[in-house]
Amino acid sequence: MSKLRQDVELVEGEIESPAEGDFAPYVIFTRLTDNGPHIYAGWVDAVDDAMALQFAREHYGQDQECVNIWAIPQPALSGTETAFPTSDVEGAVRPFEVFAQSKAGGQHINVGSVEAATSADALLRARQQFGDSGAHSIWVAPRDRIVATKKGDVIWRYTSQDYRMARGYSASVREKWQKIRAEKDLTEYERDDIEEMF
Amino acid sequence: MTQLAENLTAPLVELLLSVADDKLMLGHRNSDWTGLGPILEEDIAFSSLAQDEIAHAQILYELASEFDGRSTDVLAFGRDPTEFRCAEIVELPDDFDWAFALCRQFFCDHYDALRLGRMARSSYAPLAAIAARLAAEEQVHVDHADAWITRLGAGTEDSRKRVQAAIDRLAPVAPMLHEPFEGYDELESAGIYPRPETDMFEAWSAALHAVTDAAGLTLTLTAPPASDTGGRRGRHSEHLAPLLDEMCEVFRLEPTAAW
Repeated sequence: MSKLRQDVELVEGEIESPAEGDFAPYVIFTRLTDNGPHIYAGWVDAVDDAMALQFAREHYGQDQECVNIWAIPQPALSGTETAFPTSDVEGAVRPFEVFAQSKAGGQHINVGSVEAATSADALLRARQQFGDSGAHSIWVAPRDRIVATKKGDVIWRYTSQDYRMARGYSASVREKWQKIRAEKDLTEYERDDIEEMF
Repeated sequence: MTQLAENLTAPLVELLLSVADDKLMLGHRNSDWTGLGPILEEDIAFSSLAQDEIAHAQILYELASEFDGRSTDVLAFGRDPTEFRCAEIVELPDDFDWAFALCRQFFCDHYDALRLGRMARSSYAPLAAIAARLAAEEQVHVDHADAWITRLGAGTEDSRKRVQAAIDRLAPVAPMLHEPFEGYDELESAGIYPRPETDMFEAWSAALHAVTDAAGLTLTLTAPPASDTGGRRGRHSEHLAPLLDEMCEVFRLEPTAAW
């Protein structure tokens, strides 16, 4: 925190003010290439669909090339595992997107879609159609509940911010040390030290 | 056009510094919110946007450096306060008031989007190329600020009051973002900083009003008289010097060190 801030008196309760009540969980999927599938990226909590997309863009889209994002309200997802109880989608027959996870710990990947009237039916059909290859877990969500970024939306950064990544940081530090090493006459002790560290 | 007439390089540097200095100060100020944002998602998003501001500043300093001769590090950390070209609004401390930090972003992001849009139409190709890239990212910032202002304005009584108070504090200061820099007219007539399609102040004011009106917030903006001079001419508030003292503390320890 900036030293200039240390003299500012905090208003009581300002920092602690709890964010509660209106937030709902969304599951985020990112598509990294134009022809690739949407792949599970993580979660955000948000007050509505548009904010969920905003946050998803900042959290999961910005640091890698990414062409599209889906945010799905968690209640709209149904899964073959206990994390997602079957959602209560009912009504006309409509498309459901299917996400399959090939092994425990893997990412759920959008493998296709099925037509169904209810989540339970969609899950059943998805299992029949995509479960044969031994999918470890399957999720389904009605397409009309998926919030998606539009074509042309900026999702990933144009400016390089490699330093945000652990790998980017160590690369840039190494580069600087190598420069220093090349330019300065170091004692053997320091040289060993640097070699050990980097 | 990829070659710049000699008499236009100084005005171009003024333009680049006024955009970059605004962004550097905003990025520096807002990075202070890391760990303190109102909710985790926004904490990370706001920190990310602050890093964008600094990244944008860096790219603009790089171009300025080609004409100015000083390195980007020296431009960012090695100038006296009077050599900075930022507007007063980015110098103000936010006193840990989230509504203030957010509303400042709202005023500045909308202005940057317009400014970068103009630069993207520049007859000077290197500037147009950079600005087009930055303008696309700036739209993400605008969307972010608009989304929050809309929700907080139409949220609870408490949120509406806080946002309104922040707008009331910033609205008198914000118009000086539009103060012309030295050589503005030359750069405009040469098409380097091409004439806006509609008056900048009106376009800016309309974009802000579209959001505040819908959110039930009041906003009064008055174009500053042309005779007013401020940050774009190096006349700064008392807040800039201490801000720079802190920001440049490490750089000043060893100005020639390679970073």
